[in-house]
Amino acid sequence: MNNSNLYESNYKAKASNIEIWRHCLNTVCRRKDLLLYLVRRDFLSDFKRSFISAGWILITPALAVVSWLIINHTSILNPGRLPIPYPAYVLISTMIWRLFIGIYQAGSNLIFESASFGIDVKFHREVLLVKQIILQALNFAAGLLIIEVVLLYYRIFPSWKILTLPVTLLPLILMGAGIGLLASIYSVVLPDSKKWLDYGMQLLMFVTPVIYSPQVDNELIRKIIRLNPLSYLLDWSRASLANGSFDNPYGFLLSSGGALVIFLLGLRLLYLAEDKVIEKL
Amino acid sequence: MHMIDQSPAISFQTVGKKFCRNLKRSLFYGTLDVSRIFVGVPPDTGRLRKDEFWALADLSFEVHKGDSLGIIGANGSGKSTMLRLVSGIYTPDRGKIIVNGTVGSLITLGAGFHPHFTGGDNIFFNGTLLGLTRSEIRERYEDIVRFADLGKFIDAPVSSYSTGMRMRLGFAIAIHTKPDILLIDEILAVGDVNFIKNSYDRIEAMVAEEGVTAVVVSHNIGMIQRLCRKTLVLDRGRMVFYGDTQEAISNYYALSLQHKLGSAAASTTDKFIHHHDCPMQIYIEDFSIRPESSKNASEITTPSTVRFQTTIFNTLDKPVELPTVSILILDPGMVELYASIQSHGQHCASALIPGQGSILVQCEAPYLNLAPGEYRIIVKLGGAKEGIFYDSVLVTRPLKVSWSVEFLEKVSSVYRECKLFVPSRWTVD
Repeated sequence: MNNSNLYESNYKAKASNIEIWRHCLNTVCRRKDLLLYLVRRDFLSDFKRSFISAGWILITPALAVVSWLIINHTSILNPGRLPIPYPAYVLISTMIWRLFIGIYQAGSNLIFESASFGIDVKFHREVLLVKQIILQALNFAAGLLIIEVVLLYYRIFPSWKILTLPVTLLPLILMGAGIGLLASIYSVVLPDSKKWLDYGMQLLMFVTPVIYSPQVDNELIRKIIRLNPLSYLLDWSRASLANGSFDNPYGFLLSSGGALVIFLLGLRLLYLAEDKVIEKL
Repeated sequence: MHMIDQSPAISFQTVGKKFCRNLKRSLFYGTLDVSRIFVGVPPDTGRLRKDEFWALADLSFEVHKGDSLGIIGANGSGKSTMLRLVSGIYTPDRGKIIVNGTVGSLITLGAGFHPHFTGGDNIFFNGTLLGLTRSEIRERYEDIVRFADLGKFIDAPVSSYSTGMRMRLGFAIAIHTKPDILLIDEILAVGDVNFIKNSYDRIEAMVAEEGVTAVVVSHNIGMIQRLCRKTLVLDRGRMVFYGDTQEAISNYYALSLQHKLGSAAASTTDKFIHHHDCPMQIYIEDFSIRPESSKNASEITTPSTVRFQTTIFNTLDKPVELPTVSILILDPGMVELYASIQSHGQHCASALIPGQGSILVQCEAPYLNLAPGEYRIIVKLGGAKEGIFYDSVLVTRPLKVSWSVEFLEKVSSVYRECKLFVPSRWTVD
């Protein structure tokens, strides 16, 4: 194996985009043992000092749903016309949204998460990103148990469509990771940008049909929902889980393409600008 | 013993690295650079922008495979930046660096240790972080545990470890990554005596037997002397010396003293650096060494008579009494070895220096009982008797002491290990 390295100014910029993405993929494959141990370490450490331990995976979404149910029960919220009962709808939607936001947050903290030793040890942050995605996916998978129980309660039985869940979730994961990666680089050199982006992501939830139906009466909101790529991605993931219909295939494909582009751009920036921002830590 | 491969493990070619003094401006430049990278227009790194400075400039050198390089210099001279450049964490802004081989860092020991997991678990976490595979860690696990010497604590959470224990475990894992190039940065400051000795032995063995190239950054000159064949001296980002470790250390100490005296030094001649404590009414005008054995005034071959000559100038119009004159001999680490002091009661006591004139004071020693090597001389004028130091000078050129062949035959080689020796006669009754 040739271990010769040449370092000079902007040497990474000489690599083509394809070479950059291939390098990132190879790095993750090559460091799969590290990935495995990081996942194990972080998954277990979250529960090591907790009495309820892994129970939190189920408790957290359940508590979130209860709060939305209370809001709905008091009639403050008008969720619009829904294909399934509101508790099931909000449970599925918030779970998917939590996965998206969790991956965004993990991605945006990538540089700072490894700051304590990343300044002295050459570290592959691509591995750290995949670790965070796996951890979020594990939490999501555990939450599926609650979802299935609630769906069965409302006599909504799983169909073959649940098998499409990995495919319908993937664009959401890519979009969360992509935006997170871009944010992680800029958060070091432009700290205010991350704060604005964090607020923006919070607001995004209210213009995405997470706690209400896409079929709302307000025309402006309907227009925003149509322009929001997350609406399509969320809708298709929800359809996979709740045996719904896959509407607006073009909207989904276009949004998925956009998510892929954002993710690849995020990876590219991480590879090219990582050295520059580490100096600023 | 491992032979040194003549191909370079590390090659620096006119390398420069810049940083910015102003935090907000630094972040602004960072935003500009990242944005340029994002749109595919790489930043021009070769020129300095406002508030930027070269933390390392025009650095060119090579380290051959199986060699060991020490890097010394004052704080902020660029030592750690150099290591980060070698490990690829930073990229140079000018020039190029070629690194042939895998790089292992003994810099942040225990990087990624999780306090709630046992030492054993952390061997796997940290090992994979440093590039080992699971099977490699399993193979080396027992060796790591043995070297860390933590006993039953290996099964205890790392949060219960002392700083020294964490460092031992981190060190044990790091050296078992078996890199081609080992970077060591001030890591052995915390461990106990046994661990430090084991660590030194291990690093030496890696260099001598396994052909590992070591780069050691330390303020511990003893460590540099022990581990490094060649040493590079950095001063404010510039290489001021690269070569034999002993010479490098002499250069480093001379440099440190120059910096120390720098602010106070009123004048620096090619012969010595003045350090004045008060306005110069009386000062050392000249100093020279007259060895019998050599024509070179800074080389002495023992045994031979040595004569130190000091010319002292009086700036006042009236004659003044000659103050105390002291000649101090220092080792390369600027540790004072001994002093010869002229004072009242000696031949030149109560001598007067004429107004606007000078006087020559001579000190003769039958020989200097110093081991072969390089030394420094400081000459002081004044002292406790006068209540004032009129002048103090550091002689720029080091004093080189060697032993004649005849003297070597008489004196045990043990003396050569010590700085000083005492001429003595032994009898057995």
